[in-house]
Amino acid sequence: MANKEKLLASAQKYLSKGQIPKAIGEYQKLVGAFPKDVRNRQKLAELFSREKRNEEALTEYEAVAKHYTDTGFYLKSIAVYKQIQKIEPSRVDIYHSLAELNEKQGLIGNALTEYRNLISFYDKNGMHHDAIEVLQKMAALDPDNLNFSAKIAESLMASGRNEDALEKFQAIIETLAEKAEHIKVVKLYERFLEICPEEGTSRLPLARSLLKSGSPDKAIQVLKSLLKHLPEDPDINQCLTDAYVANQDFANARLTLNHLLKLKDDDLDLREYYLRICLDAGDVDRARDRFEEWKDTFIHAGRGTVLQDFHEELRGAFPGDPMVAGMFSAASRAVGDTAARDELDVAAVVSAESDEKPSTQKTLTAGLELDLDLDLEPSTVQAENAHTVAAAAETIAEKEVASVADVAEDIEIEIDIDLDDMDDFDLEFDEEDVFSDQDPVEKNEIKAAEEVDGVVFEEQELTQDEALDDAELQAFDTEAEGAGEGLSGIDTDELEGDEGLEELEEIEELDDLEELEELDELEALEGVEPRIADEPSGKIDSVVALDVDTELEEAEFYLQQGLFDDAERVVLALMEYRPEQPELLAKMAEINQGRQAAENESENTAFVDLMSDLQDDDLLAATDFLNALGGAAQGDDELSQKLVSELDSADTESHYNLGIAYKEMGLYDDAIAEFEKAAKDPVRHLDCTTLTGQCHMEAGATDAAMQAFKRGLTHEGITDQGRMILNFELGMLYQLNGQLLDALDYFQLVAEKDSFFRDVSVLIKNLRRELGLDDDSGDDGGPQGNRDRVSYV
Amino acid sequence: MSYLEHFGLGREPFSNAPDARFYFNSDQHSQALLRLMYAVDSNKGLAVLVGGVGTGKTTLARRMLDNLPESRYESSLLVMVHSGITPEWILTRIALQLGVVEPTGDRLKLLKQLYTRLLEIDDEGRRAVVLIDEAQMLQSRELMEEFRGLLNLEIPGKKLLNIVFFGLPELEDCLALDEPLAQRVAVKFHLKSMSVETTTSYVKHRLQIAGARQMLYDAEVIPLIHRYAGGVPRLINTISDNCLFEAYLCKMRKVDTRTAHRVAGDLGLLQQPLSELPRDKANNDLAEIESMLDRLEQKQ
Repeated sequence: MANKEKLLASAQKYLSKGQIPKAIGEYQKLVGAFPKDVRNRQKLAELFSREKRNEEALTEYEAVAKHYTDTGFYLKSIAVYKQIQKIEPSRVDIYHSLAELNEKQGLIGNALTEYRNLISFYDKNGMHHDAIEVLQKMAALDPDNLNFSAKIAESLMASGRNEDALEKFQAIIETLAEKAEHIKVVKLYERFLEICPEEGTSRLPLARSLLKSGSPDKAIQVLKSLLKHLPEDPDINQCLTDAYVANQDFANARLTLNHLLKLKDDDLDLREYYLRICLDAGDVDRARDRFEEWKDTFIHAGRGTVLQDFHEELRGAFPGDPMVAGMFSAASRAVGDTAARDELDVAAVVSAESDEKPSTQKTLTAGLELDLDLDLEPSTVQAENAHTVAAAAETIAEKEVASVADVAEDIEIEIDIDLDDMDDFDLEFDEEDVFSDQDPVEKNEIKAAEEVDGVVFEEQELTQDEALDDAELQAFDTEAEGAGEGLSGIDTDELEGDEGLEELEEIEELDDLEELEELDELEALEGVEPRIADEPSGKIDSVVALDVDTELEEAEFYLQQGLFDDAERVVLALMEYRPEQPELLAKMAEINQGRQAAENESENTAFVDLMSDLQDDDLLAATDFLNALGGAAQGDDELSQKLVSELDSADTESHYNLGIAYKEMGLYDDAIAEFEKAAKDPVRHLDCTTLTGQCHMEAGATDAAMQAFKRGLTHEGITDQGRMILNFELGMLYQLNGQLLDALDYFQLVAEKDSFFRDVSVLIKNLRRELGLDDDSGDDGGPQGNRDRVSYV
Repeated sequence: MSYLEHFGLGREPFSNAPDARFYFNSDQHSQALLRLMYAVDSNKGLAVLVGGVGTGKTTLARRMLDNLPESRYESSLLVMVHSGITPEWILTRIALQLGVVEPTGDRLKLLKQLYTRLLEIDDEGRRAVVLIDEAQMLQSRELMEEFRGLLNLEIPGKKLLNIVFFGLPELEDCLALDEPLAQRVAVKFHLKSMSVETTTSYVKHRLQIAGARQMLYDAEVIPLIHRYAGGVPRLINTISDNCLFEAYLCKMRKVDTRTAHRVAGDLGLLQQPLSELPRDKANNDLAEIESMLDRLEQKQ
């Protein structure tokens, strides 16, 4: 032991003389003789480091670090590894060791910082596989942090594993979308767009997020691009509709939704959406027609309130319109509002009570087939539904008249009636009476008598001129007898109306076809879907006219989406029948023009422009998402701080102790970082502030030290004792800095509270003497140097 | 045994003689100094500090002088002791204080000498500062005009001389004698009387500087002293000092309220505490107290 003390004394002696190599020699002897005394080894390492003998320093430091790790002194071990890192910053294993030790100590934030440093290193060196491994460790430490997942995806992408990257990326996007983090979604796409193929729907979330974050025009741009590959995708079309609506472009919204409805015809939500768009666009005529067409399906689905809402709006647009009034009846019936129904100015006269509740679906096919579907469900239908039947019959009659007007040849009427429990169904139309008077000015009556297993529809009277002028069909009385329980519905059971056909053939003889052509405009007809594909050549004009309108809308939709081939296909199909129709020619020209314009701009460029636009926007500037990981080496960024505060809040004591360890080893920056973390604990705040200031002081940064102490003084919860300590430290600092008057002030503040605090009285006395303020001779106390500056006049 | 020995004090804690050792850096004094230094450091020309009797003007003037190291400032404190001074007299004194060697008797030549000296100071990278204490004694328009002339000594974009007046509220009247000068006041600060809390810190501070090892007043006494003194430092000193003396005579280790009341009664303050008097009345009484204190000091 005596030898140890002798060696230590000798080493100290050399150190005090600045003879470092000799001191190293003495410490080497000490380490050799007492290898378990790790303090001597640590001192030896420090001396090697000071002498720039880095290899030897590293060897000794590693031995010390290992010793501390093995004995469970992780904080000390961390401090030693930090020293090693300082000497040799490129040692990857040290980052690993530091990360693991911090993790063991519960300092998750610090561990993540070390891992970040590693990732930065791996990234710079293109070691993506290693980076991914580290990222996976980080993700395990903080599984809720999507930054890690994003960085993993980025590394996968960088290493060419695009499929894996896309999978990871999509998982992140899904999570972000659930959290409604739309701006982050857009930001992420900025980085990952290249791995998202345009052929699928992988860019659909981008469009949705653009839409949600207030950039519908950009969303439309993305969606149009997607639509080129998947024109029939309902999700894309739905999103595109939403985007158009958000952009107040109701015309395109309606076209898109119209297209979507072809894909999802039975979707009542979409139908409701369609009606809403029509109304929003001010296209109330269309809204009314579609309302009429779809109302029964809403009622069947128990969504009568929707009808009522729409009806309210329509009634405002068409006051006194009998069709709208009829709708109101349907709407109010659907919601059981009999009082409202009583107020109804019923246009259609219901002459008989019926249990049938018909639903109509009209299909006009080649050769003018008129299909009538009547779903009769006695279990749900009330007697007062009869007027709806009447309305349906009116519609049929209208169709007949309209059709008749256009018929040239081969007229065939098909009436499909679905009867659940009926074997026999007979429907008679007395067209002869109806069309006997062909003078359009005179009243024409259409009488239809329908017998359905005892149920007779009769006295269907149509005043043709009124029908032409007002689209009103009145005096259509329906008498249903014995429909009873057995009549559950009438469906598409095709009946050849031989008699009817004969009579309709007579319509060829009608003189004034032009006038009858006006019937094309009848709303009832517009709802009839054409079957162009099946149409033989030589179709009647009315059908073609109908098809033209409908199909032109579809062509317009394709055109608006930049789907020129599809648009062209639709128009060409129409032109087969009407090659010279100006509308079609114009549309074709429009398509060609659009195509040419689009060819000048490649799709990729459009995307680049899009992302470029986004970057210019405040949209992306508003978030620095992922930037934290982008600058992985910077561990003190906002994200890191947030992480640390979230993860380490419960472990301020470890940070405090680690700070002490760093400070003892002269690692002031690291120590300060730890004290700042530990200062979040109110119990440790004052200590940490003081120690931070001391670290700055010892590092020679007096200004920073002053700031630290003064910041401590402004802390809300500071106690008198704490204030005294900080004032004393400030006094010491000012004295050290040669600002003696200021030093005196601070010491006096301390002495005011407790003149026996540390040696403040002695310090004050010495300062006063030094400043010439203290003068035992009892003069006026003015400083000696001021005497000649003071003059009495 | 003196009362200093009785209380274990090294020196009188409540002497009203100027003594930088007892400088008490109260918040308002600190604020005042900050502003006056700002005026000087930014070459504002003229700054004014106004305060009632005993509020610490002289102390602050000396403190400011201490804050003007010769390496950066050529500074001087002129204390006006009577009101009969002439413009030539004060000009000569300022020239001398700023380092003009052998100032001439001719006013114009003296001004030239002063200007040359000020340029030298400026060339040295220093600022010339003249502090005038008891400036309310500068009671003539000629004097004020002289100071205005001095403030005009400048080179393009820069004033060569900064002047700071310290004085009683009457100083405002003096400045009003020369309106252009009054308009040149760039910084003005009013010292007010102390609060109870500041008075407590002040008394403790003085005791500590005097070498007291413990508080020599009962806790209730300081608010009483504050009340009778109206928060005026000089009166606080007087009352506090008399209290200590009375306590010493009674062989007490601490001043109690009874002693404080008695002292206030002896000083004629008992019936109408100053803090409750109307302002004008208080000012008149302050003048009386001032003369009384002078008499007391003479007795000592």
